[in-house]
Amino acid sequence: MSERTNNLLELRNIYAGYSGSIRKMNHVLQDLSLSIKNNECVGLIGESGSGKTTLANIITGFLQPISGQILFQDNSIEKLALKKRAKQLSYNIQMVFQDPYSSFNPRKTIGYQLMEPLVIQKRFAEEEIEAKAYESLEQVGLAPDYFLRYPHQLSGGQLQRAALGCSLIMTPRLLIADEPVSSLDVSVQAQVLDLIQDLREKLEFSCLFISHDLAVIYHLCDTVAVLDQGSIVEYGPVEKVFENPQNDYTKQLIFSMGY
Amino acid sequence: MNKLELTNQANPEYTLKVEHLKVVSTQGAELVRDVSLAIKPGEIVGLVGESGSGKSITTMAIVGILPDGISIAKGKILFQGQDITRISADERCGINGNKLGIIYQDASQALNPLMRIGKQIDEVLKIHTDLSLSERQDRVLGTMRAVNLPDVKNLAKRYPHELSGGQRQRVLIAMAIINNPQLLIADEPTTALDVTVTAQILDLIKIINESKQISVLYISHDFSTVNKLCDRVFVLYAGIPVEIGSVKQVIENPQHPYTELLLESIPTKEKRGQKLLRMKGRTQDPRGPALNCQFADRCPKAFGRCRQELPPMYQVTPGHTAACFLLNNKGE
Ligand SMILES: Nc1ncnc2c1ncn2[C@@H]1O[C@H](COP(=O)(O)OP(=O)(O)OP(=O)(O)O)[C@@H](O)[C@H]1O
Ligand SMILES: Nc1ncnc2c1ncn2[C@@H]1O[C@H](COP(=O)(O)OP(=O)(O)OP(=O)(O)O)[C@@H](O)[C@H]1O
Ligand SMILES: [Mg+2]
Ligand SMILES: [Mg+2]
Repeated sequence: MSERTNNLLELRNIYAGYSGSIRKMNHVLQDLSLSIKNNECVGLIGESGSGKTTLANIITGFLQPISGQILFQDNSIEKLALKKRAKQLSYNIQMVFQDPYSSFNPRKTIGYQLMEPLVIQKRFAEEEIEAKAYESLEQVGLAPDYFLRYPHQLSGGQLQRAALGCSLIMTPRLLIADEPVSSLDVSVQAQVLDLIQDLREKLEFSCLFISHDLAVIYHLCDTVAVLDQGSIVEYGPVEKVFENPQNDYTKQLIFSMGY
Repeated sequence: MNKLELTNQANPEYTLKVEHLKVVSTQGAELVRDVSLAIKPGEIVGLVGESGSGKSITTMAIVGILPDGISIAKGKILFQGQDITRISADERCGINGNKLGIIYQDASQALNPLMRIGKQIDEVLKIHTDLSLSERQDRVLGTMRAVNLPDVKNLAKRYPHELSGGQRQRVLIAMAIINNPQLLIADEPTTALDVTVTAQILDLIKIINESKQISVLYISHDFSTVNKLCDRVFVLYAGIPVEIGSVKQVIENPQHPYTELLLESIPTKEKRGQKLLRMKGRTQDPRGPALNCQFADRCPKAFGRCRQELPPMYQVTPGHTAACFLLNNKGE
């Protein structure tokens, strides 16, 4: 075993891509390295199509890297079989998907889907789980009434909040959130950002926060990483990067936000 | 044909006119309570409002695709002068995708997962035009380029899941505009797109609007994009418009406390690490009949009357109205 660092997650020299039907293999991530410390909130920004979701999929194990190393709490996990890895990670890593519509089972109620993973884990008694589910709904600004609703009976932003609730209820060590506030109006977005901030103080978890909205990243994150064509082209403390961006794409982004 | 003739022939004044629309669920929840809005030919109207305020349900009513268990209880929807609330499926087919272009909020449902992107876009042309295969192919690739999709020939052969989130959203936009509709309804078309792509898409909508006098109903939760794109804006709260005016009027001189809240909660450099929400958050309830101001519970300026009566629309300046009793007091 290697020596312990303060890293919760570390990616080393990751190459990844999709074996598409058209081209043989297009490399979406190229020699990408990134680490996330304990309790750190890392913001990930980058142009549409730059590979942000792909990177999230690599961490959660939805996609296997072609090469490279993934360390979770200093242990290498990329070689674990997907199934075993998924099980180990499901306790520790939660993902909020970019498209809230496809992350729910359309035939099960929101309440059921909030409770299901906790029920499987058998960490808590059933009544306790139910109480947690209602609490989680309230935290994301949804009335108890939504417990018994089906996904199609929620608006886009409501579904996005329910998805966040599903992740937070698991008290993960790492929360990966792919555009989790993109379809929320600013008042609800503010409520959700305040919630994440609160929970991070209370529960101490790390975040990889993918967003196209720099204002949101600036508000919430400690560190920011900029992805361009599959590699991290800029990385550093949020304030430093926003004040003095080095990369052209970052400059353009920050300039257009008026920071 | 010049512009005047074109508009006269279809409808003298409005491309779309919604009058006192009320949409309810079978359980009796009032999802949209009383929405009236009108869009002139060539006008871009923004509909902003809280998540869950009824923006998508309003558009679904216009487009005629309300889900099971939800129906129009009251009101009229006139498209080019014709009431389209009770038309046949055939008539609907002649409108949607043809004179009415729609960008749905739910990208995953709007795209068929088993059909290649190029073919899906082409489908719209196949149904509504008699262009030849090669003409259609040119137009499909041309439109894909217009929405800034990369490497279009290759992308056209992919399936929806093989695209990034932002790329899928641009495919939907291509499908909505390929037929040069008279009205484009765009439900959150730039959500989850980065600033550069968002700016490109807004430019594109503007160009289509200007070159062809297409009217646009632009739904968004984001005031900054509305500011860039729209002529007029409707602010919706809990199924009721609470403020209406030109974009300038509403942004520079917001009158409804909810509009103020919306403009205020935007994260800025100064607010880093602080709480963003300076008033009560809220949990959304199923909606019964609106008997008082729906914002009263959260409103820092609310007084007795706000909790007892539903405020009517008061005029602020010509063209600018807001539903807040504070305006009544100002007038007295
Ligand atoms: N299943 C797939 N098969 C083939 N190519 C894919 C697949 N999924 C994504 N891609 C391609 O990989 C690239 C990166 O996609 P990814 O979804 O990671 O982008 P992103 O940074 O999340 O973008 P967005 O901000 O638009 O969501 C894109 O060019 C996309 O077209
Ligand atoms: N099928 C349904 N059955 C019952 N209620 C529904 C159904 N679909 C939506 N609703 C409710 O109707 C209200 C309005 O939803 P709508 O989708 O119009 O919101 P929206 O303004 O588009 O919000 P967002 O910005 O989050 O997309 C919400 O409170 C939602 O929970
Ligand atoms: Mg993505
Ligand atoms: Mg909506």
